[in-house]
Amino acid sequence: MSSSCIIDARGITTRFGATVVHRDIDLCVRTGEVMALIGESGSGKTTLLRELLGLSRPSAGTIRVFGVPLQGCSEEALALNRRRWGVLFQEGALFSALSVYDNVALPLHELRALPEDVVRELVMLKLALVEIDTASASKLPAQLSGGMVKRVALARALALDPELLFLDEPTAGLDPERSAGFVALIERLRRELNLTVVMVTHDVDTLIALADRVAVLADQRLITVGPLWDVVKFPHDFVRSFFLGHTSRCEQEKIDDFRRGLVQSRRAA
Amino acid sequence: MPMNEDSSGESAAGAAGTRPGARAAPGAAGSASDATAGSAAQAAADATVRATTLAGDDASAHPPRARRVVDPDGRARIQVSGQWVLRALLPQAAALHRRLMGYARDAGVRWDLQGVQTLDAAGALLLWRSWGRRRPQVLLRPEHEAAFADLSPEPAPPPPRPVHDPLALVVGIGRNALALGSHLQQIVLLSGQLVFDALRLARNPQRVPWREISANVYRTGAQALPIIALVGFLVGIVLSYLSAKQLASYGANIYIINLLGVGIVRELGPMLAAILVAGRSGSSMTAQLGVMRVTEELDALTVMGISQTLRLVLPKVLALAIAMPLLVLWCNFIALLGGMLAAKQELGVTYRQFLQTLPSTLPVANLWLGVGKGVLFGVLIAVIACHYGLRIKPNTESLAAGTTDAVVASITTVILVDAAIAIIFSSVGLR
Repeated sequence: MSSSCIIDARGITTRFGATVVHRDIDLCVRTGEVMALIGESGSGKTTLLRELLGLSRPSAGTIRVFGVPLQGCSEEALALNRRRWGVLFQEGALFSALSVYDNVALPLHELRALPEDVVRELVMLKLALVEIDTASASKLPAQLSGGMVKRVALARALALDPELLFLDEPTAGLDPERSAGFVALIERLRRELNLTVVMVTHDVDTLIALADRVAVLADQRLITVGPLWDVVKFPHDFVRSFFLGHTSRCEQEKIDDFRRGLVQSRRAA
Repeated sequence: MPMNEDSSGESAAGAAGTRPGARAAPGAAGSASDATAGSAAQAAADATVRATTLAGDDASAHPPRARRVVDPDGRARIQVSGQWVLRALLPQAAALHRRLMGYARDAGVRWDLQGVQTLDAAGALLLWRSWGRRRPQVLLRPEHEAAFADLSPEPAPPPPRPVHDPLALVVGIGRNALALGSHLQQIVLLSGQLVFDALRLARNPQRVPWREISANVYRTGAQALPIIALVGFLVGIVLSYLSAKQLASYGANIYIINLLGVGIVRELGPMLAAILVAGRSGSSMTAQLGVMRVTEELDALTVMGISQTLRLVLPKVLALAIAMPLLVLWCNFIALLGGMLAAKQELGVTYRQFLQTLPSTLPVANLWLGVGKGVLFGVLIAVIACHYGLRIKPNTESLAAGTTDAVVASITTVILVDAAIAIIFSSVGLR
């Protein structure tokens, strides 16, 4: 195990019947970085994410998270390992029968170690973090707007203060203001907690604001992995069309400026 | 809660303050921690709590620690260090909290959090609660400033308790009665809509959804044949076997044929088929429509201008109206077969005798009645199942409740209707 890799995936190959989705992919996510995964639709981003989460199993290859292999370790070790992750699903995946409060409280209750008033305060902190007001805490997920579902789902993903956060299309369905708030929130969390983030996204703004490194999935492989300013120069049709009109924004100095501005504007607000 | 208290020599690299020697660990008892708090003022306490977490975990290498040291100027300082994250705190949160409360009792004490490597909301909250929900004099790493910014001086208000209503029982009965009324109303509306749809289709026969109908006939009819055969066969055997015991004692062996014929064809066949179909196909219809509600497929149909009743409900109702009478016949046939085998075994009624006597003891009106009941039950089951399916709200709980209710309601309705028919047709087909 290379110690700097929180996620260490080697030789990942995925086949569905005769279709090969991934061919021999190696991916290392370093501690404390934001790794973004991009690729055209159908390139297997979500499949790769599901494999990193241990929800589905690659046809070949090994994945280690925190040095623990996802396949072949005991259920208990995997469950302990998973408590250190938070996952934000694309559609939120809130438990529809539970209220907003109970959704966020569930992982805390599952620990069976915290008194109720501590759980309540932690839940309220998390909900305040994602700007969900107290009145909405007793609502059911069906009564929430799409953006609110996403924010509650983020609060749930953060309930156990994870070290590793998986985000599937985090800013899709959020208005620009919220999406900027979301970006600032992730930025703050990783500063405070040394959070490592793996995200799948289509949003260039999110990439510019957050991503330390970008992995591009195309032609069944990771065609390039690197900082945004290097990735935009990669000669591939998908990369060209993805960053069409954004290439100049992705220069290193501009990104640094942009992020400084973002932090300052949030601080001012 | 087990807690290790290290001596300072073992744990304190670069610790200021005097060596206190090992003291008794404050255990689970609250009084012990109070005693600690009192004596802590004199001696520089050094206590370290080890976290028991995952091997190779960063948090277990730097567990959360809190120790009291006395600075050269004589003021006490609480040195807090390590990983103050939920995972690391969990094994001894209660003990740590008690000790911190003890330290915090001394108002003049300074808190030094510069040794804290990581601090999450849970860690900040633990310190905050120990401080009595206000900020003491504290030295803090700048990146940890934000963790305390959100904490409020007021504890989170407890959730409002549900008020106990003394009339809850009456309210419940009334609500159920109203719910029953609304179910009946909606079923009538749905049935009316289906009639309109059917009339519309009769005028435009090319729009009849044949594919859906035939798919439903296959799923609800053809695929139900094996299970209905199995159940029908066993019920036939049991009925014949039990009756044989009674009939033999009267010497009325031959009447087994009358009994099985009327009992199965008129009553048991339609009933068995209806109960099995309600459990098998009714529940799947409800669940299908319910999931389509959850995934917004129903809404998608509506905005395309496609009628839900025409495309989804009517094919199911028509399919069951076709499949059910056929299943009734199939069930009759197999159950009679089972009965015939048992009659031969128990009473010595030969197959030839059984088959020759059956038509003369069983007026054909019974067959029509049974098949007619099959059509009616099929329509009832499909309409009730679809009604509950369309009422499902987009959440899992409602889906589960709706499916259960659909099966219970359709079986109950079938039995009620069957009883009514038994009375209405009591003079038909019996002699």
